Amino acid sequence: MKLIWNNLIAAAACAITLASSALVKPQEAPTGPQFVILFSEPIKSYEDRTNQNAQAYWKKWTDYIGGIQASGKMSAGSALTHPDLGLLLDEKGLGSISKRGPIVSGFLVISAKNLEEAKQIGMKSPAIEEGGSVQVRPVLPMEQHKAGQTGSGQTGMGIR
Amino acid sequence: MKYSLLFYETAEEVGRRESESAGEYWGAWSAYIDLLANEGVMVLGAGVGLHPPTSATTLRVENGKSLVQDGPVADSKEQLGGIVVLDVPTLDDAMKWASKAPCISAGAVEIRPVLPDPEG
Repeated sequence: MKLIWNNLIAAAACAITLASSALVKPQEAPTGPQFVILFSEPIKSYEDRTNQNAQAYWKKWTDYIGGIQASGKMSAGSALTHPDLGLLLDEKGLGSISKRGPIVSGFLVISAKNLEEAKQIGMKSPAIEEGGSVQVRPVLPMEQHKAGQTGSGQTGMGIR
Repeated sequence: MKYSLLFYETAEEVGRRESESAGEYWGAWSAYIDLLANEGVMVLGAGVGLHPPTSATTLRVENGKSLVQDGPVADSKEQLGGIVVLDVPTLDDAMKWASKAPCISAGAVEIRPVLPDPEG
């Protein structure tokens, strides 16, 4: 049984790689203001990534991300593992992930004309139909805060 | 292995961005990000600073209807101020870098392993 699931996951993972690599190369680097789309999926979704629903789960996400990639608006993104695998660090020390607010299950950095367009993109994400939520936030360009600083400029914070 | 650091800040801390201690606030973050970059532990281009939570829009579906809410979902004491992605050998390494974040004393850092790429 495990072998089948491993192959399924491998196949899904290959699909993600294709979608995120260069199946359709954008003509040029994404332009326009940047936004972060934060996904918060219910715990069941984390399980769907590797159980019998994995194929359907990954198809929805690769289709979604592939679409953003094809439109030339994709800058970066990461899917985060189950919150039980994460840690929260604060002044008091290490603890488990706080459930005081929505737990981030993944995020994308995209370019869009404006917040409205970014919201439209966020609204199409599978997180919504999974019963989760999506938060769209404008990215803070860090260059203005590095004014007067010499050096690398290679911090990568909001810089593409 | 890739780990995402999610930086959570109290409302008071976020308020410093526009206050007379703004220089100190941004100086601390610039120094921290430069440290991560210079140590070669940060995945470039994958990190972002975020505008304050008042700029957030939350989208979800409730009873079949799309809901668009301005401002973040919950009245959490802390809100997400930024994200970086580290590429380091172990969780201990990620914890070490997380512990140096300016928001440790005014919020928290969430350390989350990133779903691995198929190549490993």
